[in-house]
Amino acid sequence: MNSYVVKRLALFIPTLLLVTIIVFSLMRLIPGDPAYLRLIGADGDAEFTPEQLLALQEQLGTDKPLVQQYVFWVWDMLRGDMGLSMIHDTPIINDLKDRLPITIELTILSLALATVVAVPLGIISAVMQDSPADYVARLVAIAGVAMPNFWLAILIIIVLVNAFGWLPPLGYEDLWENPGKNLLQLIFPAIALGFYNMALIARVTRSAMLEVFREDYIRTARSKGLTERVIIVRHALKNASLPVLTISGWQIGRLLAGTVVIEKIFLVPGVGRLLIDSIFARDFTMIQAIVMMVATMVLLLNLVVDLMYGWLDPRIRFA
Amino acid sequence: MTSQFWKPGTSLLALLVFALLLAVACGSSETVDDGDAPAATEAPAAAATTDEDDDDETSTGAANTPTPEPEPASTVIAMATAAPDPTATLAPQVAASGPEAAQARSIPEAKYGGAVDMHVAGNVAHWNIMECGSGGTCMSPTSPFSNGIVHYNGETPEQLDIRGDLATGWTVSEAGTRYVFALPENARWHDGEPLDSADVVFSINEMLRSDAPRPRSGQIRPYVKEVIALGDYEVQVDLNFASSAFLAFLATDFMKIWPMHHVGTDPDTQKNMRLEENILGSGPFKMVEHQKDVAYRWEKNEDYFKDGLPYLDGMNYYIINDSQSILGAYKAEQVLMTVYLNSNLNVREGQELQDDREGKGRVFFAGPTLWHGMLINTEAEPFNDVRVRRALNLILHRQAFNEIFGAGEYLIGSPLPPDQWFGRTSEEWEAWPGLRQTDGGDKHPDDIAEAQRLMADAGYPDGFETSILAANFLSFPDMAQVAANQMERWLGIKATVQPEEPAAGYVRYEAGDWKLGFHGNGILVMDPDQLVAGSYLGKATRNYSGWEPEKVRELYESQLIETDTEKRRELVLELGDYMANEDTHVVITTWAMLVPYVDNRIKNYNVASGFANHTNKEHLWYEE
Repeated sequence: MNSYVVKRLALFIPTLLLVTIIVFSLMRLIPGDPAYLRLIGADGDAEFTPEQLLALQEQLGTDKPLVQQYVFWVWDMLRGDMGLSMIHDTPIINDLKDRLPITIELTILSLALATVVAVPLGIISAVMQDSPADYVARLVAIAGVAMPNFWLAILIIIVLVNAFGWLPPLGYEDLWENPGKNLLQLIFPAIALGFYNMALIARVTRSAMLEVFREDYIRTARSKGLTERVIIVRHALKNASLPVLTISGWQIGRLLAGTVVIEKIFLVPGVGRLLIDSIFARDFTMIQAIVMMVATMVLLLNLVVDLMYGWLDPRIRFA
Repeated sequence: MTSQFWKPGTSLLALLVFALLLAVACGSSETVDDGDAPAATEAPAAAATTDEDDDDETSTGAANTPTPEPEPASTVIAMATAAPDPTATLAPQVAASGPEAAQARSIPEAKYGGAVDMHVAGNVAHWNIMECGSGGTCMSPTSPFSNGIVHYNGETPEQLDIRGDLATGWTVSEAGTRYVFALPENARWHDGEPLDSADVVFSINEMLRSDAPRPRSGQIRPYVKEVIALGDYEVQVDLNFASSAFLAFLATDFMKIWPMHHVGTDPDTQKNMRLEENILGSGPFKMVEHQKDVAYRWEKNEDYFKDGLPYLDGMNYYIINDSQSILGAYKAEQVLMTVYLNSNLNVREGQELQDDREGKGRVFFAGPTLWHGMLINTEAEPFNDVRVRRALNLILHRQAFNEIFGAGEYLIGSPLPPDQWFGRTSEEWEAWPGLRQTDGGDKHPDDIAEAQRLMADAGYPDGFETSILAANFLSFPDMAQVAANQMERWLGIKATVQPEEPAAGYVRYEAGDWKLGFHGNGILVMDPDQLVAGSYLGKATRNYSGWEPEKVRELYESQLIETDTEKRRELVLELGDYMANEDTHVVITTWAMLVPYVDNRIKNYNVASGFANHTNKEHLWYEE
């Protein structure tokens, strides 16, 4: 197990380094000079002189060779200095400290909602295979997989407004200061964000349960005269939960990516919204910091999942 | 004044929970907390300001101030502010006078109180109004805490009515080249320091700086020769030439006064005014909280120098960008009005909102505030041939663009906006070659025939292949596709639409890497100076290929210094006709509208003529 852990950790560092190179290079490949965009304004019609452009490029450091820019950036990141936003002149770390908890809360809530709905749905679907309940559950699952989350988000808003004349309260309330209002603000984005995951987990749960139901030990349990509830909960679900758990872990990366659109639509001031605004403003330093942070989180989660999987299943760590 | 989202324990706990995600957490539920409606109270007895302007003569300089150079023929007249005739309002020699020239004052029937929730479609980019180029990202959030010298009067439907903001009155010399503004003696910065002529002189000089970005505030540069203090509360501005447009520019909400003592006069050591921590104003409201990407919260400035103003106790600006979310927020009455003209809603969405809010609120189709049009790279073949450009100008079916993109609410795409004092009417343009259509609503056959003849003369009887660059916002790619279809149908030109993310689009325009483009341009001030310089001169914002025939430059410069309104109008008409008949670098397809919304409970609201007017909200009140 130890060598497995060492191998996984050794892979983590070069992967992270590769991410820095990709992130940095991609930002420079996209057309659009941040100094130019800052001067020309959001509407693209502001006037400025070439001298002003050069001065601002110098101030932002974008006039330096790319390699130099990259080395400075990585070195600063290693020292925990994410630098200043190229557009706002404010420390990036402050924005991330403000917004990361919101996105994490949204991600957790959506995953929790998805799991709470999906697991029973998958179980019902498997237990009542080919019954009307199974068909309904499968229909919901297929719809969830097929439906883009931004479309569902817009649909939710339209239904809430037109049917109830109501929308989640504007503004943002901190979870610890006003949990009720906070939940009202985040529950609908969490539903929109987590619907796909709900569908996926439901499908995986159903498949895993059906597979487990065919195992000998289930037949043995039945022959012993155990109740169906005990068979499902104690024997089938426990063994079917491994792939479900794995899927849930891997889906976190997808959920984080999904926050970009969902936060925009539901006015959630998280990292996703900050990222999309920064992309439009060509705020290189901000985008780099956010992408690096999210990439690191996803890599760490994958690392944890891999390690847990290796711990749970000896076949993997010895492979 | 900074965001209060983050608490030290919050992120640590959240991170901890996040790390435990694999165990799959459970949610919780809580109760609802509802927003409270603003409460209005009766206004106290009218507390009219006592600052009447001295209309009769210009004050002389005080001790320790530079002595102004005497100007010949300095008979002084007062500037009008409420002339019903827009031509008169913008003319430099209007001779009307009266207390209207003074600042806003409280109105007896007004109600006090309430904190109104409003919608703004843009997060703040920075707080430096001098460097500000955009309505949503810096002008609208800086306006409530700032004052200009003059501003557009929000209390009257007369859209071009200018009155004092800081100025209690002003005089204009007979030659129209010298303005003297009187300032109030009771104005204070929010830190308690007095606001005086030194601040005004400093701020105008800041606007004039050429070594710093001045995208909007710098638009007074061509006019201003010198600004000097005539004492603590009087400022003299000398112009390079007589121009009513000077005041029209100065009245926009990009021309704000900065606190000299706070900012600092040395450019090298000045405070970074882009930062929130450095904002300091004199305006009717103080910003008490800013949650990035969420909201700004304003509280009434109790020590505001205009007695009885503002009426509202506070305002909450909620930042909403997505159109469905915006519609939802208006319909659910979460927000009661648009902060400035741009709601980010298009005409059809505005019509939908209008139907939904019938009797409860008003949707305005305000403008024209910007044009949409097809840009022509006059340096690139085959568009360096004027016959090809004229053919394009003749062939685009403007009415079709209006129906498709403006639901018929936009104005016809004439070279200069229709129905203004300086231009032709919509009816005149509707009959103009290239802009006309048949009674059945089809493109006029004579225009098609003439365009085909021009193309054949230029050597392209069967058209050619080209491309249309279109920044991916405001439906420009869709507009480009309509233009492509029309060009192919009638001229055989096969144009490929190239949608680009806006930033990438600007880079390509600047680099000359384009043939045709589809874009738009906002109008800050509805004045020929702005319209021609901003759209048609060689250095105009969207004139990426530098097109500038001598005729256009001559006519522009002639109208710039022409003080006779009628003669100026004739010159501008000639300019418009030249671009419609002879040559242009942009085929304007529509003059577009912005779509603001205002709930009926918001009183004393008048729709602004431009996106940078009426944004400090001192004149609005709330009443059930």
